[in-house]
Amino acid sequence: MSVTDEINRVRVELGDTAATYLRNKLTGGKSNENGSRYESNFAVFKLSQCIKELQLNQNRDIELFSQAPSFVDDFVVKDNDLSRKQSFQLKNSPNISWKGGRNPIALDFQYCHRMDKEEGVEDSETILTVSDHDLHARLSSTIPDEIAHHTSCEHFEDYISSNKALIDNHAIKDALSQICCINEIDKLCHMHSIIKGIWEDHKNEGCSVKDFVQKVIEVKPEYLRSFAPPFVLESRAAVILNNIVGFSYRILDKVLNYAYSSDSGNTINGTLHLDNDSKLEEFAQKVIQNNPSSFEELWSLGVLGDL
Amino acid sequence: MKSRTLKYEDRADINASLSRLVMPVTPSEYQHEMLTLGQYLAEKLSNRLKDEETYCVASTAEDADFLAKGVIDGLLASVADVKLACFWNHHTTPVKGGESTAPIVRKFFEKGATDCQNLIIVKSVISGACVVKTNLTDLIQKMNPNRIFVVSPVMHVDAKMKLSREFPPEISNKFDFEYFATDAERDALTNEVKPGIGGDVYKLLGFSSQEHKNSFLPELVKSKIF
Repeated sequence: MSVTDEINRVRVELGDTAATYLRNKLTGGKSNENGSRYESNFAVFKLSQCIKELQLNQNRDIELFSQAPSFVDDFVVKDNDLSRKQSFQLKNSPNISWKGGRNPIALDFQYCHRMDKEEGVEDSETILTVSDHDLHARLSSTIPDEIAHHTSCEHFEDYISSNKALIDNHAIKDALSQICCINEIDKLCHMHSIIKGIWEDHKNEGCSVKDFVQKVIEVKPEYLRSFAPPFVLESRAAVILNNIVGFSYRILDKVLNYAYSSDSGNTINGTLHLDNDSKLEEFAQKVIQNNPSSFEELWSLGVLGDL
Repeated sequence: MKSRTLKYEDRADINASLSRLVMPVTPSEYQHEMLTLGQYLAEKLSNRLKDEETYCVASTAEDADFLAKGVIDGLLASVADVKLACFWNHHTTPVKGGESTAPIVRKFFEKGATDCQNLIIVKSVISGACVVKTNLTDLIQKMNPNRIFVVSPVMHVDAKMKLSREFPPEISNKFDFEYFATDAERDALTNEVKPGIGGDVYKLLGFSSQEHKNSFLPELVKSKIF
């Protein structure tokens, strides 16, 4: 919906004062660099959760919006299957109140909820997400009565470095771990970079999670879980590999993760990406044809040597 | 080379070696130069190391047989023990204009490497610090070094700051950098540090591509794993 369309809709439903208020709010300038970073980080967090939902059930109809023409516009998740809409206002500042300022949050939340109801959204939630821990505690306990039935306050800590956030066990780590087939920080960081990059390229367009996942898949994200049953290695190849002393492997979704420990206790481990089951078949055939009996022989086949 | 700052202006041997990296040389000459620079780095580190302590030298696969070997050779006589950790990274920018990443596709740990008291991260050039960040992050999940030495012949002037901000202070406070030159310029097209180490290190060392580099097993690793 365009800005003009939404302002006209507000005029009809809530009157001229609310329509003028929304116009001023939408033209009032947006976030600075810190605010923008916070929004992108939060988007990666929410997107990771939505991607998991979609990967588990390809038929889910979930839409995402950022900076949509609305009273609460920082990040919107619209679950059409459940007639549920979550509108997030993001604040990366310690000086926030429910009713203060030029655009009081409580008023925005009230208008947003009323417009959702007018539109027929059954479950309309307004959520204030703040980066400051103390502010979160304060605002959580002082939600104004008139919005309390549809409002909550959440804490999402800001971060400059995704790597540092992952080391610090920020909530983003758990969200990314759910959609990555290998739960190691370098892989999670890689996934973070992909989701953030695509989100920043498309955030003003509004899109379904399905379209977003498609854009992610186009980047060939090696570690994205498909949640499909893992590929299975041909039994003859499995027997040969199992007989190599010190060698072990696991197939995690579409990744073959292998490890070898030498007699002297030195270890090597790595990953082999299986874009499709023909790559695994090719791997299995080479193993069967050459019948390696040691890790050195297996390595010399070149099957563990590329990406 | 006005954008370059040399750390040891009185060391003609080190600076001549740095200069040779940016001249047209064969891969074998380039490898030899990296080995020599590794030995110089070990020399400069030596008075900061404790002879009764153990050190894990962490390297990328491409640097292992040259720069890292030079560092290890230079250290063996002066500390209690040196162990090797080696990483193969796939360094790309997955989304155009976005952040670069370097996920680890393979890693090698010599027995006892993660039990070492200190860590020495070796890299031929530190530009955006992406690869060093990735490998160091993996290591600190497995070990708790007393000190973390980050050593490289050439670093971008912002590399220390960039690397430090990727870690909590309890880790970045342990950093101790050793290098011979800092460069302030980058190539507009490749974003490589200029003059840096003369361009794309994979090609200069004799690899045809990153994929080639990632299918390669350094001699240092071969001798310990087979």
